[in-house]
Amino acid sequence: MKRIALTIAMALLLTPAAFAQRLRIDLPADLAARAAESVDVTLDGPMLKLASKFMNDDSDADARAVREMVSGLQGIYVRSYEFDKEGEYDRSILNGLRSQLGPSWKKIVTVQSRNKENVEIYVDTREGSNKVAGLVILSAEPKELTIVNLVGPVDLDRLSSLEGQFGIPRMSGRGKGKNHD
Amino acid sequence: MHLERNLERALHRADPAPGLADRVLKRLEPAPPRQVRARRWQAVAAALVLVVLGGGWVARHEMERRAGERARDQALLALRIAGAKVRFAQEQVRGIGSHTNG
Repeated sequence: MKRIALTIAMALLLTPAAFAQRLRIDLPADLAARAAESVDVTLDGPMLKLASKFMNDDSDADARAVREMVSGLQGIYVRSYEFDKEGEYDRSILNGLRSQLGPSWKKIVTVQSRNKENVEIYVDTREGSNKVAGLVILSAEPKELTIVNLVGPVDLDRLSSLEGQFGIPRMSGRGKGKNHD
Repeated sequence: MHLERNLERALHRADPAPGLADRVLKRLEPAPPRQVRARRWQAVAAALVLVVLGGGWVARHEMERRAGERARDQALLALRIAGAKVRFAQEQVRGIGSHTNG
């Protein structure tokens, strides 16, 4: 009985933390319709567990690492839109996302370019630890908008080295082969 | 005289109990066709139940497999996009660092 009560208490304590790391991605409804290509990924706990079951990790350490990363996450939320011409979206929509990031979120990288890609990377370092408990990437290009929100522990070095591994094709040089959702 | 009477009593013809012939014949007869048919139907029904249960299990397994593979593909796509953005940012930072140092 005590154990059940403890589990419920832990779940109640952890749930707001997980929700706090999750971004509410409210974008204009017609954004996807205006985009030439769009990606919409929403995977939460049970689906991530299921996804990790279908990842073979027998062969190499990288595959195992990806599987571990996926099974450790509580949520993966991605919206990515690629437009045929510039000015199809208002960059101010990102302000609504930035305003949701509480004090535990730290901006670790800002790449700004007038004509190219602007990228902001935020990490959630809870409880003063050095471990990343959540990740938000806001990427705005003249013809592309990408929002990534990973909830749970994330190894940034591992994440950046994933391209080309474990069936993850390279996107460098711009991902014209994006899968549609 | 005594012997004769005993022999006569022993060899006296006695009729069998009524219905004995029927009972013997009934035992020798094969099961009536109605019973055989009922057993066949039972076997068919059992086989159908097995097929339905097995089919249901296979269908459920297949649905789970498809959902799992779809979730896996989506997770990998999301990680691919996130990885590309982090990598781009890292390269930009390294580029600035190398310009500053050089």
